[in-house]
Parts: sequence; C-alpha cells; structure tokens
Amino acid sequence: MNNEKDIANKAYMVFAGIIVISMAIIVRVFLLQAIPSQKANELAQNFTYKINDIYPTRGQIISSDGSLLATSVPEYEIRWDSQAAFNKALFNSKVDSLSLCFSRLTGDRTATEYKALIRGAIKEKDRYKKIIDHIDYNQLQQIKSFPFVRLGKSKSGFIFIEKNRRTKPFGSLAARTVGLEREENKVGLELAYNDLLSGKKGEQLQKKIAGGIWAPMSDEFIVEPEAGCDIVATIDVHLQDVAHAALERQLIQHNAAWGCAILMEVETGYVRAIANLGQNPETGGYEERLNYAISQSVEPGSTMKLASLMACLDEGMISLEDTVNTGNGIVYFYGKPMKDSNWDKGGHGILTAEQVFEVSSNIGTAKFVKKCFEKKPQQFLDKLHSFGIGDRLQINLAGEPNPLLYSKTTDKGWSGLSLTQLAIGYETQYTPLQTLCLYNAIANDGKYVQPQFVQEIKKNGKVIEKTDPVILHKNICKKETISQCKKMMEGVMEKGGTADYVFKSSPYKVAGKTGTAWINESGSYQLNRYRASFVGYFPAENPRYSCIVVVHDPRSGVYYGSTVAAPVFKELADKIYSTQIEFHAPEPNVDSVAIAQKKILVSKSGSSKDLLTVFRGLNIPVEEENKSEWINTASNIGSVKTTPRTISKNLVPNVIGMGLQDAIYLLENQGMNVHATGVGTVKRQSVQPGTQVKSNPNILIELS
Amino acid sequence: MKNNKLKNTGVERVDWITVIVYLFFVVFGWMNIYSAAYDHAHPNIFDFSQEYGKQFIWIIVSFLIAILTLYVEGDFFNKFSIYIYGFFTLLLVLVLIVGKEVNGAKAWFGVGDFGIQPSEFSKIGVGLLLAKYIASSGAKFKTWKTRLVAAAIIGFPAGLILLQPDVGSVLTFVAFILVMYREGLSGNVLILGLGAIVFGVLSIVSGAGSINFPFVGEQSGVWLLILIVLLLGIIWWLYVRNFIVPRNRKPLYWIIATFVLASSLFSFSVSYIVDNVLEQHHKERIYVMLSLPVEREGADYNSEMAKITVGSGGFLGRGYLEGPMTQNNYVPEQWTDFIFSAVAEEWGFWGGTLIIGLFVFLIIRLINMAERQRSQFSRVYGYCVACIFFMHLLINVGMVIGLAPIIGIPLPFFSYGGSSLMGFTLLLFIMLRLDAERLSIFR
Repeated sequence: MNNEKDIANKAYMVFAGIIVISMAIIVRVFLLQAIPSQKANELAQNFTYKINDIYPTRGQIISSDGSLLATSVPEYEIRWDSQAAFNKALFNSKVDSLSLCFSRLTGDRTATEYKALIRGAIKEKDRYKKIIDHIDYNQLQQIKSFPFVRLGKSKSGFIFIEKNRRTKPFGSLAARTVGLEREENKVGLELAYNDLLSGKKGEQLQKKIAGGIWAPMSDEFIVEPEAGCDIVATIDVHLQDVAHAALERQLIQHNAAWGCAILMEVETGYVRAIANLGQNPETGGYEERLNYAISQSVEPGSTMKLASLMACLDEGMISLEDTVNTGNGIVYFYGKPMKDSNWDKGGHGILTAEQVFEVSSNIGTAKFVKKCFEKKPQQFLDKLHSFGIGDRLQINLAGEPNPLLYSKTTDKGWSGLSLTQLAIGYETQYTPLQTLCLYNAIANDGKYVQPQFVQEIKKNGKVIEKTDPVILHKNICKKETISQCKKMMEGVMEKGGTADYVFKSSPYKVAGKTGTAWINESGSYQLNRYRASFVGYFPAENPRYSCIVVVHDPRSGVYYGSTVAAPVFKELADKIYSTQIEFHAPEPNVDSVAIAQKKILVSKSGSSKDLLTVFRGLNIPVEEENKSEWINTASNIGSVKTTPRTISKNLVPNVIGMGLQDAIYLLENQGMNVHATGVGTVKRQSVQPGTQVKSNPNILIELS
Repeated sequence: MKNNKLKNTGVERVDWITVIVYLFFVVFGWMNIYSAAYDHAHPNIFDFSQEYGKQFIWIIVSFLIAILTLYVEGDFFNKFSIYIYGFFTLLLVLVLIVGKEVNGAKAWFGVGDFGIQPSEFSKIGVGLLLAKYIASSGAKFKTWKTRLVAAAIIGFPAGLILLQPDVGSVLTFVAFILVMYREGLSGNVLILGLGAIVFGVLSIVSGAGSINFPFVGEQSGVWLLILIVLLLGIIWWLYVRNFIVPRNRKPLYWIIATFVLASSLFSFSVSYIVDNVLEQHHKERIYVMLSLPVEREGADYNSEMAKITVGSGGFLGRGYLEGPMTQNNYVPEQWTDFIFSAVAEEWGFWGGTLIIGLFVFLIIRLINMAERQRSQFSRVYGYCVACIFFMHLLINVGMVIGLAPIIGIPLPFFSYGGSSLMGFTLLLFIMLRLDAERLSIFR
C-alpha cells in the first residue's frame, strides 16, 4: 500500500515538475516579449547587436508656387575618439596646425582653446568628445582635408555624425502657419501633418562599436525607412510676402499690438497668404509670434453687422429700401447709450437699410434687429447659427477655438441688452478666419467652404493626394439675400461708405466691410483702444479672393478699419491684380480661352507672316480678321481665327501668348533688355503692356 | 464482420485528440519552416530544392510510418524491444565508422542530398528496452544491480552519441532518469543531480573570475567557493560537536568530511573540465548562457539574435511571413533548432504560449495515458515518450530564450529535419498503438 502511494506521489511530482518548468519557460518568453522593462533596456545597452530605429528624412513643406517653406538640411558634428589607435608622435606633431585649422574654420574658439579641448579629451579618456557642431557639407569637406583628420577615421579617431536640421528658407514668412518642428509643442503644418512628414521609421541591425556608437552591420535594413511625404501648402510666397510686408508696415506706422491678414481663394478655401505679426515687448519689432488668425477669438464689432442684417433680410422682414431713424446718433436701450461714430456731428438721421450698412450705423443695425426679432430673439440666434458661424471650421491646424455665440436665449449672460449688442458685434467672439469665412460664403454665392492650408501631398515627387474643397454649408441663405448683401458691401466702397476713399483709384472693384471695435480687456471696454478690421472680397463682379485684415490696438491715434486695416487689403489686391493674367483683358488672352474650352489646337500668337506660313503648311484653314503684322490666334475645332494685335512705338508691347522668338524681337525692337525663363509661350511679363518703355527698360518674361 | 478486424487491431481506440495535436504541430511547424527558410527565388512551398519542400516529403513519409505503426501488434514492440534497441545501437556504431562529418560531428548517414541521424531513433530503442526490463524484472531500483543494468541500457547508446560528439542529444537521455524516478528510483538521486547542477554552475561562475587573496595573490575564484564550503563544513562540525549526542557524532563527521572533500573535488574538476577539456565553443556557449563575459566577439551572436528575434515579436507578433528578423535570416539555420524564435516573432507571445501550452497538454496527456495502462511495459514506455518530449521542449525553447546553453537539439515536429520528424512520429505512434489496445491486455 505504502509503495503504491509512494509511486502515485511520484507521478504527481513529475506532473508538478513539468508544469512548474513549463510555466517558467512561458514567464521567460513573456519577459522577453511583453515587458520592455528598465532592466531589459539596461541589458540591451550591453548587447553587442541591436535593432535600432532609423528615421527617414522629414518631408518638405512647399508653397503652392513651388518654393521651399520648410526643409531639412544635413549638418554635421565632429567628434573624436581620444582612445583610438592613432600614431601618438604624429598626433603630437600635428595637433597645433589642426587646432589652428579648426579655429580658422569656425572662429568660435582660438587655436589654443581647440588644442586644450583635444588634449583634454585624452586626459578624460573621452571616446566621443564633441569638437565642433552644426557645420555644413562644405565645411565638412574642408575638415576632411585638415592635417591628421585626413588620415581617416581609423587612423585619426575623428568621427563625423550626420544630422538633420529643419530650416525655413523664407525665414519668418508664414512661420507660425508653416509651423515649428521640435520635439514638443510642434505647431502649424509641421504638427498637423507630422505623421505624413515624418514618414515611417525603419529598423536596422546595428553593432556597437568603439565609443558606444551604433554602426550598421550591413547596408540592408530589416524594415526599410520610408521617406516622409512633401506637403504642398496653399500659401503663395509672393502673396505671403506682400501680406507680411504690408501688414508689418501698417503695424509699425500705427504702433499696434498685433495684426493678421488672411487671403483666401473664394471657391476653394485655399489660404494663399496668412500673416501673423505681434509686437515683441522687448524690441518693439514685429514677428510671427502666435497664429492670431486662427486662434485668437475676438469680438468682431461692425463686421458682424453683415450677419445681423442678413438675418433680417433672409427672413424677409426688411428690404434694402426700408428706413430707420438713427436720430442724433445716440439712442438708449434699457438705459444704456448706443452711439454712432458721428454722434458728435449730430448723427445720420433717417437711413435706408443699405445706408445703415454702408455708413456702419450701430443704431440703425440695432434698431432693425430689434424691430425684427424683439419678440422672438431665439429666432435671431437660430438664424445666425444657420449661417454656420456658430461652429468651428474644423481646420486641420491645431488651436482653433469655438466661436462664442449664444445658442439659446436662456444661455448664461443673455440679457435684454444682448439682442442689440449682438447685432453690432459684441457679446460674441470669432477668430479672424471664422469671420472671413462668412464673407467668403457671400462671395461664393452662399457656399460656406472650409479654409484649406494644404493643397497637395506628394511622395517622391508624385502627387498622392489632392485636397478638394470642403463645403461646410451648401447654401447659407437665399440667393436673393446674397445679392442684397453683395450690393451693401459694394456700397461700402462707394461714395458715402466708410471706405469710399480707399479703393477710389483701383482698377478693380472691391466689396467689403470695415470694423472698428472696442477692445474688451478683463471684462470692461477700454477707453480709446480699438481693434480695426477690414474684410471683403474682390473683384466684386466675379469674386476670386476674400481677405480679412485685423489690426489690434493701434496707438497712433488713428483707429478706423478703413485707415488702418484696409490698406493691407489694397496692397494684396493690387499685387494680385498686377500679376495675375486673369484680371487683364486689354486684349483677350486667346490661348487660355482656347485651353479652357478644350479645343484640339493650341496656337501661338506672334508674327502673322510666320504663323500663316505654318498654318498653310499644316493645311489648317485660317479666318483672318483685319490683316496685320502682329496677330493673336484663337483655335477653333479644325480652324484658326486671327485678330490683329496692335504694337505701338515706345510703349511696352503685349507679348503674352507669343513664342520666345517673336517676344524678344518685339521687346528688343522697343529697346528693352529681355530676361526670359521657361519654355513654351509667354505667360507673364513683368512690365505691364502699354507702359512707357523709358521708365523701365528691363523686362522679365516667363514662359510655360 | 467488416469492422471486426479493425476492432481486433484496436485502431479505432486510438487517442484521436493526440493525433489532432500531432497533425497541428506538423502542419504549423511546416508553415513556420516555410517562413524561416523562405527564399524569394523559390516561393513555392512544394519546391523540393528548398527546406520546406523537403520537409513536405518527410511529412508524407512520417504519415506513412504513423499509419503503419498503428497497424503493428503492440506485443511486437514488447517482444522485439531488444532487437529494436540492438538495431538502432548498431546504427550508432556504424555512423562512427561510415558516417559523414557535419559541423565536426559524425552524426549522419549521408544518402545523396538527404541525411539520416540515427541518434534521433536510438531513444525509441532505449525507451522500449528500458520498459521491457522494468516490466519483466519488476525493478524498483533499490538494488545496485538493477540500477547498473538500467544505467547500461541508457548509457551505452548515450556513450556512442557522445563519441560523435553530440552533447545535445545525450542531454535528452536525462529524460530516462525521470522515468526511473517514477518507477521507484529514489528522489535523492534527483536532488543530488540538481545539487550537482547548481554547484557546477557556481563553480563555473566563480571559476570564470579571479580574486586577489591575501598572502597568495591572484587566484581562480573557485578557491573562494571552496573556502566557503570549508567554512560551512566547520560550522556544521561545530554544530555537531556541541549539539548532537556523542554516539551519533561519528557517522556525521564522516558525512561532513565527505561533503567537503567531494564538493571541493567536484568544483575543481568542473572548472578544470570547462577550462581544459571542453572545446572552446562549448565553453563559450556555457559562458553565454550564464551571461559571463566571452572573449571572442560574436560568440554570443546566435543567442543574442534568437533573443532579439523573440523580443521582436512582442505581444501580438509581427504576422506570418512578416517578422523582420526571421525574413532577413538574422538567426542562422533558424528553420532547424531555432524554429521557436520564428514562431515567437511572427505569432508573438500568444503564438509562443499556445505552442508551449499545447506541448504541455500533449505531455500531460501522455502521462495520463501512461498511468491508465494495465501493462507496466506500456506505462513505462509512455513515461519515456512524455519525458523525451519534455526534455526536448525544455532544452530547445530554453536555448532560444537564453535559459539553456546553445545545444543543437530539435523542437519535436517543428524543427526542419527528416530524422527527427520520423523519429518522433515513430516514438509517439508506438505509444498510441499500445494505448489503443490497452483494454485487451490482462495484467
């Protein structure tokens, strides 16, 4: 019996032994695989072989016109293994000249200091002493030819470490929007597109070599690193440059705290320029400090009047011709005074709705809103929300706050006074970009689009993703309301409007609204401190761009939106007008018309003799209209129509659409110096046709 | 009538669960060989020029062996065990004479491209003969005679394998000691063995360093160990002298003296063997396992690579055919002895645990199976099979994860190789056959 029991016990022992040992194995596998413990990491430090992460080059950020906004450039660091097996006697004989070379190259240390640094490394037995940092490729090549260093890594102990540094070739241009690439607190596009820009890290088996450096075992990767994508931003460097410069000039002139300017393409929402400048409290200068345009919520003031009157118009409660008595410029709501800007001159008296907007009458706007919505203020709020202005734009840059707009009359803060305050842009807050979007929607015939900062994503030079415009609201109001709004906004630039003088001499028509808001700081409105703004679009007939300019706290004594903010708008519009071919119709650009209509033929303009010979040779029928030495050609299906092109003496000719030969012939005949870039037909000329040759004999033509 | 023959053979009583586990192991193992040995130029898993193609042939042959084995009367294995043992042992002798040398060991019969490794089969012979001996003599290993006979049965082929030399395969013969333990061998033998291992490890670790002793200068660290043993001996002696009644003291003094002398001799010989008898690569492997510094750079390559590969799998694994370490062949000959690292990398902790778990399940099922046998022969053989699998699992997986030295033994059913697959198949299916007819055997 005893023996039997003993045997059974032994069987259990075997069982238990197997289970325990198997558990031990599983635990060990678990420790190896699942828990990257501190101790394991320390162990890994001592491994001779290790899989290391290999980070690919970060992608570039490119502007829409092809300039580099942010890129990674290689830079190098020179380190020295003082314990390497180099020839001591040779080292001693060369160390002086080497130190001198280092000193001459960098200039940050004297030869003696370099010598002390190198000698010190021997004393410290440092196998990885940093000698020089942040040098570029050319400097590296120089260093490689220095005495002693030129013996190579194994005989000198000098090691070159390649690193990447992020640079912005355009410096502070759109710096906050392009963003900062750093370990923490990345901002802008660098943050929003970090995953795409960084690519996929690879893995490589590496071996620890002298000095604790990891060197690849072979050129092969375990996991090939995947280079980051390039991000094509919507920003246009030329326009950004203008926005930046113009804004900076205004800020300096008016000694303002900060300002921003955004230029957006109406149809697509592509942001072509976004400048954010804040005053540096130490230097007094202006720099890209914060992205005010997308992150600073402010009370819009008068620019909100568009939404208020839109609400009244869209509900059909008023028409543009309806009148209101604004009296002598002061009206009391619930015992609080509301003033118009000319209250000291006796006020505007009786105004139509359109005039209320054009002269930006607080009282007029408030009275209209009160008349329409006093009984049902909730309807007013609902209406405003239906325009989309109560929601975030969901842009892919971080930092956009929610707009502040009551959604219910039972919300905290709502009082009897709120309706009229809201009507003129107080008790509500938006970022400049959010305000711009409303105006853009009017320009875009009611389509409320999301602002875009990136138009394409490229990988290895190929476009892998295109950003399509995102429509947030298909139709924010009735078509009729839109044309009424457009009319009011155009009226602002006309005689009697608040900005009637700004665009007086401009060849294009602008629609917009000025705004001059009180600054609310720590809960109370500050005496004589204002935020000037101007928002609108152009050309008014066929809107292509919308733009907002905000200047915060100008302290020069001038503070009206029309004076402080609108000039920036004007400079941008001028630049676009003068450089973009679509705005010019002195002679129709037949080529682009042909391309737009997808005709099968494309033909150049130029010398009629040459062109007609070509057409005859190709058996293409030609319809000639008024024979002339120089012609435009327009291709139809299977035939070409020519129209004469006038070339006047001493005036710069229009060479757009011509081939290079004809263009140079014509321009040099007028005594101009021609610089040409590109191939194809002339797409742009730097001096406008019709100007006097004498004033500017140098011309740049771009072909494509 | 039709089923009568089958009934007589007992095939329908085969333990199908074990067969299913076996099939899973073979097929899953084959999949992992494909992944580990994958060659872009030969993507076809049936490409016979590649390891995975060859393994397919071995799988088919093994299936045939399995089916044939199931149709052999169990009594055959009992009666002919001495001949089976003799045949496989003869092969071990022959391989020493005509075998072909691979990696410095004469362990293979070369037949063209294929090779046969007799040591993989000799375990079957030892298992059968040991079972037969224990069953027929009723040996409980209480007498020296029975112990010696059993030692001879195990030791003869083990010695031949050691001559090849193939230390790994010899180590798996330790399995039979576990079997003897179950059949009555005193647990003290196991404890003594375990103690010897611990003391041996201590000797190697201390012998690897040197210590600056007072008066005599720098000496091997083994001296420290012996000093400690001596100190323990003195404390023990003092204890006996002061607290034990005088008439019991004398035998205890003898025990103390034997302990001190034997331990000192043992640790000296271990450190002498490691330093002077073992070949350099064996010494390095032991050092690597014990995390002792190795002089030659790269000596720890296999071990480190295997550990990195297992670690690379993480919790969920990299996915089949997607393990970077496995696909880039960082572990040399991964499809043979290091196949578990491929499983662990591509199937992760869960995959690895599943395999270990299934092995444990198989081993416990085999022990259960052994315990339910009426015939002592079948029971002992069952234990042999279970313990052999266990030793292989322990040493092979232990080696991959750095718990055991790098010893080339296969993971049953997983590792690439015809001999091991056929050998293990035969080993297992003999047991399944014996189990299937257990009810027709009378005690």
